[in-house]
Amino acid sequence: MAGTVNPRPRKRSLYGVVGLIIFAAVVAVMGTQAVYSYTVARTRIIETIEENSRQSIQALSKHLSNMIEAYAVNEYTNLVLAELERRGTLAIVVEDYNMGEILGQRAHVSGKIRDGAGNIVDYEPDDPGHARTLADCYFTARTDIFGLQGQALGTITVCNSDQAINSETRNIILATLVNTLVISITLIALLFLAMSRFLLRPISAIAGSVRQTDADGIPVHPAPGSATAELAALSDAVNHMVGSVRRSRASLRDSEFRWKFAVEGSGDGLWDWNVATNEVFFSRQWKSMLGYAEHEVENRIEEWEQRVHPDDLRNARTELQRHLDGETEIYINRHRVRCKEGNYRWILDRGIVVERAEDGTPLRMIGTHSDITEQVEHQKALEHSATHDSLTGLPNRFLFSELIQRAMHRCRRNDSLLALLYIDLDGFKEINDEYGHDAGDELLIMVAQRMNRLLRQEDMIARLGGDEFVIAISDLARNSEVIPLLKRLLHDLNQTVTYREHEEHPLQVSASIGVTFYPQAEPIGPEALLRQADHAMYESKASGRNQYRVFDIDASSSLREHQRMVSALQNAIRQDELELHYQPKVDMAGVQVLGFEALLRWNHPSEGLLYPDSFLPRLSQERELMLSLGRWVMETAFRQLSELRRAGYDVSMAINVSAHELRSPDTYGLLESLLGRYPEIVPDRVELELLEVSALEDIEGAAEVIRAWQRLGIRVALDDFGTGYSTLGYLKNLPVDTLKIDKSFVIDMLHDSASFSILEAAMGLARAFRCDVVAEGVESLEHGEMLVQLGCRIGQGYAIARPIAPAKVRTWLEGYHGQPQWMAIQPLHQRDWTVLYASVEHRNWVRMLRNYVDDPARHRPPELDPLHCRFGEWLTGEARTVYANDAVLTQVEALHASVHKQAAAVVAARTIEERHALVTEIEALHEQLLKALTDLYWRRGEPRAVPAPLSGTLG
Amino acid sequence: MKRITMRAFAALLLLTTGAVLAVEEPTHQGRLAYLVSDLRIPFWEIMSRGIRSAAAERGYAVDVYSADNNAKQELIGAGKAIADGVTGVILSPTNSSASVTILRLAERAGIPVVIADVGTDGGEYVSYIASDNRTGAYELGRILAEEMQQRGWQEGSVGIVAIPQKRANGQARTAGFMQALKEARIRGAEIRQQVTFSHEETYQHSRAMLADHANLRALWLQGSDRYQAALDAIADSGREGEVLLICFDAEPEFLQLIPEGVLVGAAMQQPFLMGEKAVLAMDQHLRGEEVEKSIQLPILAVSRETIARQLPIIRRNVLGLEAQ
Repeated sequence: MAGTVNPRPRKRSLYGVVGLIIFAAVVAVMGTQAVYSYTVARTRIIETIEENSRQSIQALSKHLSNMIEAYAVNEYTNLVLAELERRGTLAIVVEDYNMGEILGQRAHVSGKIRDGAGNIVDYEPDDPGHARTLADCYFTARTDIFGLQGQALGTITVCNSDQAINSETRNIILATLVNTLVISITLIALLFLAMSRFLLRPISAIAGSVRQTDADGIPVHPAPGSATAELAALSDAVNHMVGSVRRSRASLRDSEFRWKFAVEGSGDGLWDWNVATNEVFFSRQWKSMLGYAEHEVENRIEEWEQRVHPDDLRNARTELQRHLDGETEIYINRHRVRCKEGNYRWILDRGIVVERAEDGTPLRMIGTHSDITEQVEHQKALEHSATHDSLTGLPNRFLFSELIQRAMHRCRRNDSLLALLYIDLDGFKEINDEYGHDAGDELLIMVAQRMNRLLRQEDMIARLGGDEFVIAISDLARNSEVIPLLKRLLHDLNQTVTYREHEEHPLQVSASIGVTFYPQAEPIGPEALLRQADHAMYESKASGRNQYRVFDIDASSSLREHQRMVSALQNAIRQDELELHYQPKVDMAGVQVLGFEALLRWNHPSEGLLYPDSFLPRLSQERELMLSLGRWVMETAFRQLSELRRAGYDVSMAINVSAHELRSPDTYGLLESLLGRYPEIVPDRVELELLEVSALEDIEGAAEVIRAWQRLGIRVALDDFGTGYSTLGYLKNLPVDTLKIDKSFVIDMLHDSASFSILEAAMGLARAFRCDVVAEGVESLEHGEMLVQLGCRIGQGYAIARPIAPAKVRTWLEGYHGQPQWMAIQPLHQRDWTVLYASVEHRNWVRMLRNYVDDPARHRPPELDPLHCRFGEWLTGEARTVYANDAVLTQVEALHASVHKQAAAVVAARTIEERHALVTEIEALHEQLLKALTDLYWRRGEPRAVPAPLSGTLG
Repeated sequence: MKRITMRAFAALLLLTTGAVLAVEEPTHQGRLAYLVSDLRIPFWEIMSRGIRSAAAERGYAVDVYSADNNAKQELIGAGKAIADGVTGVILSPTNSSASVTILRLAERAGIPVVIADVGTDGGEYVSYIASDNRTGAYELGRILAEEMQQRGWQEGSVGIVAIPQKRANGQARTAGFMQALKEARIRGAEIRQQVTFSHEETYQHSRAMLADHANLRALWLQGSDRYQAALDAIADSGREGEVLLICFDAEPEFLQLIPEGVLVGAAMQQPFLMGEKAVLAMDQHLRGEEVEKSIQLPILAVSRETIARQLPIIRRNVLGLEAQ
């Protein structure tokens, strides 16, 4: 940002400061010393003068008595002069009584005195100047002079002026000042030289070396060393800092290069918004992304706003404002932006305020626009495939689960009834087996269309899987209102269906229908409601098919059995008949054991080891029992995890949590208590697994509980994902960390394209919601391979390990070294998943051929026309689009043609042995074809790399 | 010769009374005081006559105060003269130190002072009149050297009985005399200083030098009054006729002893002339004329060959006889 540079306030030089300090210190010390010396000297001078006066008096009086008696006036005058000169006295005055007598006076007064110029002159008593001098003298000593006979001969007076004192003190002051000055100058010079030599010059040298910088402002030369430890340390610190800055700058430059590469490489557009002026810099890529030339977009925020889709603008603005207000750490919004040609592209808009005023007002914000149109469209397709049955186009169980909730809510609101019909086709399996999947599929499509035709617009129908459908009839005033529809359904579904290849043998099925109604006397959720309908459907089927049954809520014949089971399990908890086995969860692309899932086992005294599937579903409504059981499971699993962690194993523990535990406020306290009891357990190494259905009944409450657990640091997984009634809406609202894909999809994925599609869709959803994905049911190496190729690295299943008894867990941990076959696998780019899909189709085709060879009476051969089988359709369609001009594709086509040629030979073969031999050859060709498919994406793809270790808390 | 001696004695007797000898004379020009150390000594008495003579000629009355070589008496005289308000003071002090006190007292009283002989250690005065001792001693030395050369005794040495050499006149006399001996290449034997100025002292000094110096051919006395002690020493040493005697200053007897050859010669100061010069200088000062600060009077070097020719001057200026 350009601006005026404030002039840097001029700093005082260290030389000047140090010089001033030294000068002040020396002057202060020397000044004090000088004052002290002066005072002492002055005292000494005064004492000396007084002592001299006394000594003068003493000496003179002794000699003067003789001289006065001898009338030797000149002699004593000379003596006085000599004494005055010797002592520096101001005046010495002698009163001579003898001379006075001669001269007719009281006394003859004579002596010597110093005049104003310092000359010694005769003392004249009548001279007023002399009298004044004596009067003003500083110190006077006087004594009488006596003769040998004791007669008074006169007096002697010695006077000293302060002039002498002042003169001497002036001399002292002068000398002290000179001394002080000389010593001060010498000291200052020496100290300054020393400071300069040992401190200032090295500092200047360091500063000088730091000033010589390169274009980046980084010093070019290292700071020089020094003889003193402190400056050497300073120099080292400066060099260290410069080194750090240089490395940091290099790192920053590298980072900038990477960033630039990343931005340019990603094709993202860059924007830089001056919030205060509303000016925005849009990068060339940003404009290009929308089809604009460089000059066609101005640098104004409105250029962006006016192009945002009206439906998205409000939300985008809201998110943006929240970030500007500091409510979010980063601004992220997905919206549509209009291109130059009028079409809209989906943009992932990300940005962050990089500069704020002191009061928090945002000043500058930088961000990127990523074109996610393809991703969004792909996700939409995924969502559709995830919520709709690919065969019939009907909503699948995910979508139905969402829809039924709405319908139930609407019934409660309208005080109307809802009928739920669970429909299972009678004889469908036989048709499937006899006429093949294609025929079965055709039948299912026809059945779906027939049922759809009977329904009103507000009714719902979904295919749950296989030959099972469910219909919800809402807004009924009475239960009986559904009976006409039931009859029509039974009738229409019992009609024949003509299959195009077997017109001579029309297909016919019937339907068994179970019915239940909502609302009921007791609160009931969609899951239980569906179960009731399912139960009624079984009763219908058991009663002879092609009929409907209404679930009888009251007549529960299993009530007593139920009570017995409750008691037994309660007893099992008390008698310690339960135990947990632990199934490992690993990074399939590496050697890392990530953790275990705790699985309940019941050592039943009479029935042996029971799996939870055999007793838990019947007891799942027993809240207290479930809570007790859950508590036991949690405490046991935590204890086991604690032991493992204390033994040095950094693994996690997944614990299944029931719906009751999810709803119970005590669960949070239990978790808190266990974390406190086992401090060695890092909270994020604990993962609570919820069944989809547990969370569905009160989605908001469940989300709140999950967030509370997550605040403890505990992770939450959604178990058996895909089998329940998961909806996009629920997934959006449930803040889970992990999705565990149900093993049913994983197991069938190798040869069932539907399962593969569901798996693919589930993984897409997981990615969309930024969850980790764990695949259950990894039962073979092939499963693992395909999962890794799909990007799903975390798995558990028999191919890794069966659930392990507690005592053997550590032994197993020591012995696990990963699967080399999986470790060699590279995840595929999403565009190459089509090859996996094709391989699934081909496996299914080979399996159908094997079934036909094994039991020609019950199974039909698969499509023999290489152009009409599903693999053939893929080969002539999508494969040629994705892998155009690839030589491997030609090889695949040749192999595929050989396989079909051999298959035709199989059908034409006369003996079983010949068929088996041919099938064996086909299976060999099949393996070659799969290998060629592998080459297809490896040759096309980027160089292979060893998969990186998993990051994230699951590991 | 006898007459001269008698008159001298008579004058001396008059002065030994210590009283002030005031001479009543017309005082047209004022009154002068002559402060003298000891009027009993002929030299000072002759000088006082020269003062009176010259004062009378110029109309000054003169009060003479003899200190009798007593410091207190000298100061009493000075005090009295000053108290009397004399016009001027002519001072021949007891010593040069005492003159300082008198000069200071006179200065305080505003009375001019002319110093005649002896001198002063300090103080303000109009003029200092003294004998040229150095030249006189030089001339005397030449007389002795000539006599010794005539006698062929130039290899012999000369012993000196000296007045105290701290006095300026003593130093000048020794310097002039020794210069003459040096020029004649005659060695000095030894100098012994007088302290008491007694006969005994002079005799002992003389005897000692005669005993110590076998080639001693002459004795010089820097004073005149103890010449007999020296003669006695020579006689008692048995070297009469072998050792010459020469004196500074004069005694009346010298007018006889020199012609007889007992003394080789004498250097004679002129006290009468000095007294006259003192009054003359004072008179000039009082009249406002310029007066030389220091006036040197010649000393008469008298030998057997010159005494007859110098006798009239000796009688007036040395002995003060003709002026009376």
